[in-house]
Amino acid sequence: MCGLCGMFGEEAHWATRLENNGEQSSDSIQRRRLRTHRITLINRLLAPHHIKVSDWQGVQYQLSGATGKTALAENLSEIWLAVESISGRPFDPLRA
Amino acid sequence: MPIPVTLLTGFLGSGKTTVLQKMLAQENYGDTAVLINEFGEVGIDQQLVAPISPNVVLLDSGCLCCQIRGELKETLVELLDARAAQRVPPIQKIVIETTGLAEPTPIVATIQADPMLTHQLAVARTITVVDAVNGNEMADSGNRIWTQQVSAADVLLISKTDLAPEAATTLENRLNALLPGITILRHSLNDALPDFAELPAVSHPAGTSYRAPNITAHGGVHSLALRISEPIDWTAFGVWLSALLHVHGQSVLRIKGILNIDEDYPVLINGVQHMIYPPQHLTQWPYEPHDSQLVIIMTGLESEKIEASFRRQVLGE
Repeated sequence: MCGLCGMFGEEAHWATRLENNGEQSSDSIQRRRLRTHRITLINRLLAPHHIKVSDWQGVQYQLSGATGKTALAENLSEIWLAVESISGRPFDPLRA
Repeated sequence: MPIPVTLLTGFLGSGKTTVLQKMLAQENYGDTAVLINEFGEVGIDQQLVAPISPNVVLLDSGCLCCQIRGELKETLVELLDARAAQRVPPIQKIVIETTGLAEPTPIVATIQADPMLTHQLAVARTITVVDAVNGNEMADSGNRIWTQQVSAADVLLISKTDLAPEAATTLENRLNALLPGITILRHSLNDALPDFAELPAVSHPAGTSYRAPNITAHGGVHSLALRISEPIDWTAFGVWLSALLHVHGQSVLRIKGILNIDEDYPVLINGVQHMIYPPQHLTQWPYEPHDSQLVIIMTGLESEKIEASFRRQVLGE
């Protein structure tokens, strides 16, 4: 937990749980590297939708749209919900 | 260690209670708590099972679906409390027998979504009993609940094979084509049950490419079986699958596979609709060569589009 703002770490998600349960669990550098990699991949997917994702304090993802609309997401599942709230339509990887 | 939970499901009259009785009679099920959900006012099934296991709890509000997740959660919490307070024998396993009209996914969701339950319980396997006498008709009918029960299975038991041996063979072939990689066992009244814990985590899928809908369609259900020789980027896979399930979670009936994520050992991925079980690192490769295998069973989606999306966004092709 962040002692400054009282926020817990990234919420458990099946995809990140595997990374955290592995041998790398105590390796914060590796965790940050994977998080950065994840954000890069998501940004690549969302670029045509003019939505950008950035890291927020290592515990949340900040999404912002072309109009300046922003949303926070705690994990991968919430990111797709946030995309929907910003763009007004769901992100479909089959059409991306 | 979380307590393993076995879900026993199957359509009305498929023979679930017979399987449960046999299961509980086995030596290694002596310390098992059983939850039975009976559709209707009189819980007949409890009478059949009660003499075998004293730890039977009957959920009597009918269908074990979304509406009574709360009740299922409360029952499980009470059971865990009673275990902790030593008011019941030290339970080592839990079996939940669903009503014949229940989809198993909400039960998995209840156990995984609740922070208290998810740390104490783990869904070990879903066993679906399919009736050889009516199974082919049910497959033809495209019944939604039957399809979801079958798609959710880790082990499919074809029951009443002694009553309809030819129909059982036809059904076995159909299910093998529809559910590559899922263990399918024939079972008649006098057969002993296998030790489910000893069954392999995943069977070797027969096919190595996607199966066209016209080959394996069962009421609009079809499967995609992929075999990938290069290592898979787990992060890219997680991003892709979570996005796919967010939009198409109701159409993806099942996903199961072994992935080579460029580590010493593979990862087992298993999911039912939008629910993905916690992925597991296996301790050894179950086959050679170390290719990834992924099976997706779907309805209302085009397998070609899913494969193209997977290859583009996960493999970067």
